[in-house]
Amino acid sequence: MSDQPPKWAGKLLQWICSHEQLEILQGDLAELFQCRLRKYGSTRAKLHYIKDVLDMLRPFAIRKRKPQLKMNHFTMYKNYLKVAFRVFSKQKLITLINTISLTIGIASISLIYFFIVDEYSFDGFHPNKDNIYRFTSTSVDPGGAVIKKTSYMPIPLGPTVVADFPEITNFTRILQPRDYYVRVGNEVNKELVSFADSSFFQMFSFPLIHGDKNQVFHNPNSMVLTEKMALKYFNTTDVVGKLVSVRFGNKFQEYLVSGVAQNTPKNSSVRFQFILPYSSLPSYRRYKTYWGAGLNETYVVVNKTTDLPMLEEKLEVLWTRYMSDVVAELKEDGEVHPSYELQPLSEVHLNPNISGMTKTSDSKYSYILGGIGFLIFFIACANFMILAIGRSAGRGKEVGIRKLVGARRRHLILQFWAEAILISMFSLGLGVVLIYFVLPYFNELSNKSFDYISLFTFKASITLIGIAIVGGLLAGLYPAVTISSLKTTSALKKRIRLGGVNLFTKSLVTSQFAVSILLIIGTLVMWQQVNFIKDKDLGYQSENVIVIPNELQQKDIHQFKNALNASPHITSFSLTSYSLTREKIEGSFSYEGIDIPYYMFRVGSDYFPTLEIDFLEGRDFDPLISSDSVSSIIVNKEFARRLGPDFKVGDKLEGFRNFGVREPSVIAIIEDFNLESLTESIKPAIFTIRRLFGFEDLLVKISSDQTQESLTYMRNQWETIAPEIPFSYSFLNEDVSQQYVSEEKWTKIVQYSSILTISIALLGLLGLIMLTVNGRIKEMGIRKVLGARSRQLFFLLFRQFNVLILIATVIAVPLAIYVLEKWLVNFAYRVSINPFTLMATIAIIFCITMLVVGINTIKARSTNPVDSLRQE
Amino acid sequence: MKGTQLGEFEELVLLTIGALQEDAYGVAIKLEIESRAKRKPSIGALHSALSRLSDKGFIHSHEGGATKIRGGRKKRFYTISASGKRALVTANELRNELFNLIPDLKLNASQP
Repeated sequence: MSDQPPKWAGKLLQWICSHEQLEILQGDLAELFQCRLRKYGSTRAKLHYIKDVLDMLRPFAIRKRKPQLKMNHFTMYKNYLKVAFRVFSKQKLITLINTISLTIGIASISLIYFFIVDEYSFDGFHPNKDNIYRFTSTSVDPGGAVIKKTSYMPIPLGPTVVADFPEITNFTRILQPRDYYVRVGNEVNKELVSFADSSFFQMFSFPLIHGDKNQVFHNPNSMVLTEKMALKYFNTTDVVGKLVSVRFGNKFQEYLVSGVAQNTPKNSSVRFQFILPYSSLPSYRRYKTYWGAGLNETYVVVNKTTDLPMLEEKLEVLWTRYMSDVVAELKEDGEVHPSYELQPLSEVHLNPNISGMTKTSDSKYSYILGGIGFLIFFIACANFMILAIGRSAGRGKEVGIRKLVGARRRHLILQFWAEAILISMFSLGLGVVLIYFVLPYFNELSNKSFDYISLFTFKASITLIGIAIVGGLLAGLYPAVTISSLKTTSALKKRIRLGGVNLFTKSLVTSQFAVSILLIIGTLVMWQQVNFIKDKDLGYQSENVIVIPNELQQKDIHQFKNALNASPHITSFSLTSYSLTREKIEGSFSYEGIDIPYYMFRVGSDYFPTLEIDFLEGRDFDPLISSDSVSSIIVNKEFARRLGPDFKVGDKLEGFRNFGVREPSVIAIIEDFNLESLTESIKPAIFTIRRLFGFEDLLVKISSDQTQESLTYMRNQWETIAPEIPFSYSFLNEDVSQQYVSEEKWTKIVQYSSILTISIALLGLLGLIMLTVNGRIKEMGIRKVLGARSRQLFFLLFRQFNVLILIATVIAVPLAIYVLEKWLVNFAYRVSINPFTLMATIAIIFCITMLVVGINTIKARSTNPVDSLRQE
Repeated sequence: MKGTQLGEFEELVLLTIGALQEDAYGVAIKLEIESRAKRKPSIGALHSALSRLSDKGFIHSHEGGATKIRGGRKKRFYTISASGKRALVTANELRNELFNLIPDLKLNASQP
């Protein structure tokens, strides 16, 4: 065995060489092999042999390959087409099912392709992108575990690193865009305004329509706005030199437009509408040298040749150089200071773990959507395969005759593939039309704003055609290979039964069932969970509570409050640091050696009645008791629980200090209520009416039957008190459900994809049963003649699916439970996966299958046995 | 028709065929060149050269002599044709003529 040259190499030699040369060369190589075998041993001899074979790729030895079928190829192709169309029109329903499922499959996978491409194209349009980095910092606990990653950097960081590190050549800071009132003429609106350094337009490529990118921020009172904003306020883009006012604190400040930028591309992490020079930031002078807090993002340009890890290590110096007091303080507590990293611009978008101001996205979504798209596509292709195998019974003769007149196997494969690709190409056409109709829904679900026409770039079109071809190849693979492998004689004699159901078809059908079950369970459980969190009693009343962002002066608040109190429709009024769904003030309190992390709410009087929160013990804040506004707090039950059973209402919190509240006494304990979205459990919370900082939101409870009147009344009052500030509001219960938008979205995505999958799978099932009935038409006829009832016929057909559905259940249910458990872990309050849901799913599948089988039984029953038995 | 120039390797092969006389077939030529010229032509390169020589009409060939070691396959034996001999002679004469035109070649030949 081992002293023979490798067989495949021998075959390769045969394939390479022409007939005249072959024998001599084979002989020479064999002789040399034997020589070398004795001299060097088996391995080297074999290697030499292989080398010699490959060495025969020389003009003298290579067989001249004649293009054998050149003369009638095109006629043949024409014949394939003709036969294909005949087959299609003979089995219209099957063709229709194939086309519909492939259309849906191709449309879904194309949409998801667009989504993924867009996700990964973020920030790719800056020519300078490879040199731009964003500063991030990582805090670790003494054990080395990462606590927090952030991209909010101290304001002096940017200029300092450019001065201290020659590798860093340029920087720009960007402040989180915030809503400010912008006034042009008499029009006042809230708009997103950001601040950036003058290098902003040099580093990033946001082309300016008007203005010079090197000059736009020379003047501290200049501003750049986008084309869209220019058109909104001036109806033209040529607005350089026009005046725009922005309101800081309580007065408007004028800015001169120095540039108009093109709208930021949709796939840009950095976005802006109005952008002002950094130096004009009201608090800039105060914070210019303040290292104590991260306030802006800092982007820098790093030299191409820089060794990045080395530079990051060198950045360590910043701590000892500029923040030695912080380092010392941390050291005292046994903690280490955070480290600085430079994050390439291209990685900004798909890194959701860094808290920052850009809207990031998780690449997880791409994977999940990609997976779903692939499932749908797979099911569509599976349909094609199942049906093609099913209907191939009738084509045995065709294959036999083709073989008889000289078709090689590859011709047959080509023919069957061509048929599949023909259908998939047609489906592609339909799919492109389908995309047009579903694009709005897809945009809504995926948070994108794709435009139909601009989707089909050259590259995308090529990819779509590629997808269709791959789909065709995939779908046509099994039929092409099996059908073409038939022996001529047996194909002609119809000895081999290809039709009906074989193991391969069965596994395909099973996997279709499995995917359907998986997605139905997913839909049901996610739907239950979303309903659960939306309907759950939060411990407070969010109905009829109106949240108004507080833009009023202190004295105006009083006036507004008095005005509201005068209205019979308004039940109560309160103030709060932030409404529940918005920001939170966090703190931590060390009590008897245990850290209690808590949320702190600064509230106005009547806060608890407004939200209808129950008191367990103690009393509400009383504006008449002066100590309440300084040294009294109310805690929730969770906070009290953490303090332990020894703590009583009226006791002081020793050592407590935050926001001007010092060692307060607890005057009441309130019932727990959900402070955050239901993904989080209830945390300890304290409430104070100490008025050291302003209140961001006003809460107004109105009576339920007079919503519109109350709103109008409030608007009128607001406009008399503060005419220059637009009145805006939202309903608290809407804010609360707003928190679950993404959960609802995912539920919808899974729901839609399960509907799609099930419909495709059902279509396939329908076709398959039809073909089975056709294949067994004689059997059915005989059974009927012998007295079988239609019920018996039904079970005869249905029986085969029992086992398949059971196998699919065994595969899909554990998988579904596993995946859904992973999702449910995200919620502190969650439903459990109900066995009833699982059973209901299986029941649904059974029912649908029975329905489809039933329809076919009716058809089988209604055919006259005489007709089916007579045909030969 | 290809030119009738004789390449360096072709000349070597042709000479070897002449030297081997009746026994000149692929493997034998290869082994002879390996032992005399201290170079290892691959069997592919050798057959390539043989096929060129054959095209130029410098060699004749006939088949025969299957052995067990070759798996029962025939050998192809080569002999030099008349025009092959002429080409060898011409090449040799040309070389000698030029050789003699170099005055102090003999002196330096022994020193590398």
